[in-house]
Amino acid sequence: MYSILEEILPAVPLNTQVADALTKEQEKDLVVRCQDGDKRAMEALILHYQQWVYNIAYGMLGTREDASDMSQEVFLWLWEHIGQFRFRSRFSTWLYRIVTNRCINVKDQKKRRQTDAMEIDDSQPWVPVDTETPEKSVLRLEQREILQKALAELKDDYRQVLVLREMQDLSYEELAEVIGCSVGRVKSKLHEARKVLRELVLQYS
Amino acid sequence: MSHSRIQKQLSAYLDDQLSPESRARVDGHLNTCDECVEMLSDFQQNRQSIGAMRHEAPPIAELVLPQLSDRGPVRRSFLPSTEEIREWFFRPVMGGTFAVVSACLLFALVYFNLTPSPDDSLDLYLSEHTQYSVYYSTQSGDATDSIDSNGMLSATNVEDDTNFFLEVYLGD
Repeated sequence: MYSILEEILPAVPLNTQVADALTKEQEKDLVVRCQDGDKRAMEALILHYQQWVYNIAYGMLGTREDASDMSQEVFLWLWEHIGQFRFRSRFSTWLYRIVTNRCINVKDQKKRRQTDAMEIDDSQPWVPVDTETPEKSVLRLEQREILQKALAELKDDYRQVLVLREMQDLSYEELAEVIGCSVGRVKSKLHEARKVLRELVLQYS
Repeated sequence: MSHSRIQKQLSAYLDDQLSPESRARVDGHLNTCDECVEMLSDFQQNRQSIGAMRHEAPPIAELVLPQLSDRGPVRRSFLPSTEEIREWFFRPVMGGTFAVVSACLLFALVYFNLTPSPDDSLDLYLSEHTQYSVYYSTQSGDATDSIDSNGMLSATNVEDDTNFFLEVYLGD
């Protein structure tokens, strides 16, 4: 899967988390080559970020289908607009912002169309990390359903900050850059988001 | 430190974003407050549950790459993108600046465009009219008898004009 990355960036240890393994210089090199129309560099970028982009979209949108569609849309948009990136921030930060903003826009459009609330996608059960008893699995499934329902009820900016922090483990500084606010604001927003989520989870439990 | 202030720090505590002193204070509070312990535990559990939502993505590269060739060429733009402009404009500092400049403009508009009082109008009229009369008299030579040696309009002439203006202006 990562053969092209290995070829383009031989120094990157691909057995680790690839997204964390890219240095700033390597990332910049890939982006510059994409801006010059190098499709192989674009392929490397997609392979590098697809997991991140997909999971953010999944956290924001709630269904696998939507997340997959959104990921494709983002990368196609990226190919056309990567020339607009001017290295004022890290590429990953720019990409996070694009993904979360587009997800929020899609959700807004859905709301305007007055569709039903976010569906819970159970078509593909999560693969448990370790072996569980059936009782534990059922409990886990229930908890997950409640959590997804609660996440769907959250305000967009709360969901955004939670998904980026809890799922992608972004630091407060990175969150501030993606969201476009101060670290202090991130801290308070994260607290508010966690508090509201907790209340919703307790309400649905 | 109060219970509510400690509670607000639980999120940062969970993320290990507190100073050692603050952390020690929260630790001390947690030893005595069941409500905060419960809240922290819930935060932690929700965090793990959201983290567990991560899963293997479908082969997005395989789906996207064939479509790249159909798309337009990549352009390296030197002009700011709409997103950048929007982002720049909606920065908090821009919002503040915009508010201050708007307030100043509004103040200036109101201050300099107040409706002139009748007294102001009268003064303005008299001064303009006097200057005009003097200029007209000296140019035409018809009313030289009403101009004194200093070239000023005679008092009688000004009074007549004033009376005429008052009749017109005040409607008497």
